[in-house]
Amino acid sequence: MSFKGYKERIEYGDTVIVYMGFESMFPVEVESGKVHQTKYGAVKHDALVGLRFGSRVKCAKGFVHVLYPTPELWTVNLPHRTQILYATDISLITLQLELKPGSIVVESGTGSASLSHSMLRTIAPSGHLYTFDFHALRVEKATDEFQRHGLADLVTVMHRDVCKDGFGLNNTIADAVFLDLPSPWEALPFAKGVLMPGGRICSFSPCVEQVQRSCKTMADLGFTEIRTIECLLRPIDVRSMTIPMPDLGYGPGKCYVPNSSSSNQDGGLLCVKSESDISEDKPVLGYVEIESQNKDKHQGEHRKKAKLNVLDDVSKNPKIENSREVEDDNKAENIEMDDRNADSNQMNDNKIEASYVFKSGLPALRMPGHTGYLTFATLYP
Amino acid sequence: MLIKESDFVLLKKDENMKVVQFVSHKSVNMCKMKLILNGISGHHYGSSFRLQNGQLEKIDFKEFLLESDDKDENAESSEAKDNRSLVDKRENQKLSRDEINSLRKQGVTGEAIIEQLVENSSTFEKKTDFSQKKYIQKKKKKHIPVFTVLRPSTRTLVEMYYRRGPTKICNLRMDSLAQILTQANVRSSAKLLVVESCSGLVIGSVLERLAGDGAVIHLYTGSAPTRPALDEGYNFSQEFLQCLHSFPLDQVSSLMRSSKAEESSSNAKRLAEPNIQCSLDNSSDKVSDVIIPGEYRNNSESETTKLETFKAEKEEMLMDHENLLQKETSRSDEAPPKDVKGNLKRKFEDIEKREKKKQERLNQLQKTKSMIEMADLDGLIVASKFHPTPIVLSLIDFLLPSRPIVVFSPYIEPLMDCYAKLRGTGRVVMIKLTDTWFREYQVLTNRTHPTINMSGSGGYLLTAMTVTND
Repeated sequence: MSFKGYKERIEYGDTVIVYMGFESMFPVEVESGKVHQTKYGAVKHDALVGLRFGSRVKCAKGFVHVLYPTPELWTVNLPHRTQILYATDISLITLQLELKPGSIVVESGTGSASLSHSMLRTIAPSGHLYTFDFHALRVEKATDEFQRHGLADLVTVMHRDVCKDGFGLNNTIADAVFLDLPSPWEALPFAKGVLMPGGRICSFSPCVEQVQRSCKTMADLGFTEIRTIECLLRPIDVRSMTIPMPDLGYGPGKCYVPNSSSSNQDGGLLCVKSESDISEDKPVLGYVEIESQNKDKHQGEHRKKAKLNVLDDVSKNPKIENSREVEDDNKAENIEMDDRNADSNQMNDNKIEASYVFKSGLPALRMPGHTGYLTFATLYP
Repeated sequence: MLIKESDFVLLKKDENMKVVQFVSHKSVNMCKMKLILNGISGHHYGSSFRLQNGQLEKIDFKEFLLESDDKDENAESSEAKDNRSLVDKRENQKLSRDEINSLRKQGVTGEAIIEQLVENSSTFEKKTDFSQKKYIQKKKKKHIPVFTVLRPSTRTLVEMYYRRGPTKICNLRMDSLAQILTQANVRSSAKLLVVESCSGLVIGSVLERLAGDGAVIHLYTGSAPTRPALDEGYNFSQEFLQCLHSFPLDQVSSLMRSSKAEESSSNAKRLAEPNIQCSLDNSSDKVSDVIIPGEYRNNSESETTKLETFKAEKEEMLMDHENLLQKETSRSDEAPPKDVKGNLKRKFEDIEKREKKKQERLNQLQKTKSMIEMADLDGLIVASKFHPTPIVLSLIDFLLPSRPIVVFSPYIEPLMDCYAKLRGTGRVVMIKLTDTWFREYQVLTNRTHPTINMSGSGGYLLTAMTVTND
């Protein structure tokens, strides 16, 4: 019942989203006596009742969070009966169809009711959704779902082929019509019949041929403001990156430090004489790690990692936070500073490898390339 | 919906859009033309009008544009035309600019002018059908000014703002606004905190989806909130507007938090300061330590005593406020009542009025403050020119758990910082940074392709869900 509106505490019959971390989650309908097994241990439904949404639930080997089922969370957790629409397209549809509380919406096909749940959230409590699907089982599942989610009074599900038989609604009552059909142009005349003056329509089609035909039919039927758009979500990965600094043979003591405002020494290279130049309390922009391999036979190979400061005046430069993924921050001070007193000559014996550590917002290597084209139009009188 | 007097309407001509208030007989400037809007009254929104002698006359836009291309779909031209012999030169059009202008001044209709242009074009016949259509469309746009009157709504207003002055709305593109509204789960009866520098567009779009039930608390900068989109855009009724509350952003520090969250707020304040050094010391991997140092104090106190202390503190504050009000009222009482001159009496009345207003404002402020301090808000939306991290960290205390935080920025770097800081608090899950790729298509028979220009960026969105670790 939690879909009806925000609530603070979990009750029997509510759907909750059990969140385990890193996009790993699943929906649960809270029922007395039931238990769900997760990789962190068992989650007893009875233990959830009375908890606040958002609470942390301890399990045998860890913990999970129980979240309130927003339509966006439901979309990524619902049982698929068909290919569904995701939040990106849904958001655009909601805005472009001007959905709001009180809107009357006509939708076909219902599919897995992903968009339906989202629209119901927006048009509640005074709106209504008439949703149609020609697949009997999907109609059944959707009806059952809306019932269990406490949304039944906001929606009417009908088993109907709207392309052949229209919507069967007597009046022009819809503020908005949404079509996700293989041949939407067949349903467009019926859509026109059910739309209020000034009403909005959207047709979602994966193929451009469908789009062309739909747009033509819309224009012929008198729709205006016809607009076809596409919107894709790009997830961006925020992480600390380390890339090696090139060795151009200028010498082991010299290292270019990116983002430094001065290029005053040695033709643009910043000179690092020894690790004593490193100080922990000076702010840095990006910073460079130096690994030096001491090829001293007695001590064997040992690596020193140390943070190299931008040696020029960075008091004006903004701070970035230290990357948490970089280890050995503390160890830097504990490193045996055998070479601290060494001058450049001694450094020559050591191979200095430097790397640049920075925070990056990297788009994922692969992103969704296409879901479908969204065609919007208005029916003005 | 019918257009009526004093409505705010959105005028559209080709790609230009402008919001004006419909006042009869008052002229409006748009696209270097002067319009009197009387002709639009009583018509449906969405109607189109052509400018004839300064007045607007209704036309049937669909017929006017002749968009339907039945002809060329069936007709296979016997001679397939192409542009191999077409040379683009000024002399192709025999009418000079002056001649065209004089035709216009004579009052010749746009259609007639276009007819003349076509007749006097040496290349027109040689063009392909598509090319001829394109030519005529172009001339129509120039010589027959047609204005469409649209109803201001989020859908139309965001388009207008984005085209006219995207900097006024932090480059918030339509699809980004759409994402904000759904990701923040904006719905009837929700109570949301909004910090924005988008001319009130974000506030308006939220109010539209609350439809009179719920609350938007606008945290504003400056001496008073400025929301041009509400003042000259949305035609919101009083019922819708009563959901809107305002609170000054620079008084966020004075908001009372329950003692548990006090540490987080004081440290959030520290982080909010420009030259923080803390993130680079030893506890750098555990930024959460910085924000919530040490253990919670609730170990020693019981829940009830904590709540009591909180209540007591609040009562004290209310008392102080009452006293403040008393002082204000008594001050005006002390003003000299017995003056004979009408001037002074009027002045006294003015002072009284002002004092009353001031009291009302203070009352309202206190009410809004209490609303926030209840800490049962359903979401936070940030779409402002300021760095979002201190805003988010300071306001997270006032949200219920399992509620969305949505932050928009035209730049990715501040959001990356916010991402890292939020992760460190341990008070949110599902932190995501995204942007959307957006493209429009021209769909015409045999001429379907993406539009020649497209938006390069609509800004970035950071979303997260609050949790509680109790």
